[in-house]
Amino acid sequence: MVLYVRFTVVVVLVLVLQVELFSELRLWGVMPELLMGTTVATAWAAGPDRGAVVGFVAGLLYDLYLPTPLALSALTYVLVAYGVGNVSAALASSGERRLRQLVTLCAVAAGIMLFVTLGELLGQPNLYTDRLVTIVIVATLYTTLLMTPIRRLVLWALGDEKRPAPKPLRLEVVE
Amino acid sequence: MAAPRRSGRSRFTLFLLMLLSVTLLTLDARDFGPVERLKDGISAVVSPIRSFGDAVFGPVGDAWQGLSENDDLRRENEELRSRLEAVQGEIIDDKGAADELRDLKDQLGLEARDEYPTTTAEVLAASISNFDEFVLEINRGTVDGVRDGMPVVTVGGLVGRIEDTGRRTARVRLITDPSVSVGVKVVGTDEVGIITGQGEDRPLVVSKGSIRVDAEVEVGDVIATSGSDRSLYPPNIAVGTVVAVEVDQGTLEKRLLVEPSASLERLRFVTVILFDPEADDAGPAAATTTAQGSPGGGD
Repeated sequence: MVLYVRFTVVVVLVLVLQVELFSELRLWGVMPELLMGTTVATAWAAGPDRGAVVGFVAGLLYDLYLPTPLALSALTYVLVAYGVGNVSAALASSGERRLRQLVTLCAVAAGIMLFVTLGELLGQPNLYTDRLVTIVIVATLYTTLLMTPIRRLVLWALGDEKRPAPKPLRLEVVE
Repeated sequence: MAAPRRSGRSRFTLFLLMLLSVTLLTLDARDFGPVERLKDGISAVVSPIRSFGDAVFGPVGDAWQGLSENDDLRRENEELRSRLEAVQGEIIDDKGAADELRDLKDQLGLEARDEYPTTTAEVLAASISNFDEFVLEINRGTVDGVRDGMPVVTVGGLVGRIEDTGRRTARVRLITDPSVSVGVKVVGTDEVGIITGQGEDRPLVVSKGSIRVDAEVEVGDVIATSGSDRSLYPPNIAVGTVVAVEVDQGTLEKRLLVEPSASLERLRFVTVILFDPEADDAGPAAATTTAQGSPGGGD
């Protein structure tokens, strides 16, 4: 129960930061994708299941304020969380910072592209524009820069519920 | 055996959430009532937190904008000062002209924008997305008589149209959006056409219509809504001023580049004209919406 309350607090806080603060603090007209960052951090720390659930809720809340159809961001975040959760589960050295940053970079960039692709499939205007490359690059880097506080928030929300570290591989020599 | 079970559970969660997302997407596309109410309900719950966030973070955002747009603001300030002097001289002439225009309209029975009910709205937020920069969020919704498609103006002229109306909020799609088309006329001529946006900081363009190559349209001419049949907009709302005239040799029509007359940046307040084209068939008095409005409005 505490876990749900904490995650609700984190998601609403990040939503308010995204909508009220970072929508103004733009770099080259681009703002960070904080809610996608929260989804990625959750999936990395807690696995694809929780990542997908947090991503769905975060995306759905964000969708309320976007002109795109309801659940478009939610669907995108669910898929991103599933991917990141499985990648992090497959990597034994998941605690490595550089690796985590690289996965975050790739996941945010892929998430933005996925959002645009799904939106285009649904016939949404103004997604595939000549600014797309700028948006993907700047939003990805901007989000990655802000991942440390986001990750701390997610770890606080998880408390003692963090996913146990994967067991080291044991090699057996069969004669 | 633990790993496959975990993977299977993850796939089940993924499938369930994807199914839920697709269902919501479909229902939202069909404007399904309960989904709309759910959206309104969640927005109402989050709204006070958002307002608190706006109060806390608003000054930070303003400071950032002030820093990042300092040079632009200074240049704009100088331009506005020089224009103010010119405009002050024109005001005196315009007062006389306005009186004459009012008399003429009375005699010809032309409709004026002031005759439609309006409601003034505060702009809650500009675009909060990286992709759709052509929207504003305002603090008026269906309870104020606002409906999808209604025109939104400032004292300068047309700003956009309402879409995705909630109970207490609505979105305004700006006329600079390339997907927005408005039926317009060149004031003082019989020339009509369709104006569309070309994106932020770019002029609007009248290209699809019947501005013939021999039409007497010049730079400086005023463009206003035509208010023709089935138009979403009442007639005679200023849209902009012609800044360039190009000739399309293929269609032998003129292509007009138009600078919007309303300032679309840093809008604080806008006015929604409670105009219902279907109810308006019998004239402006037939508009059925009854929100307590104030004429005019400002940015």
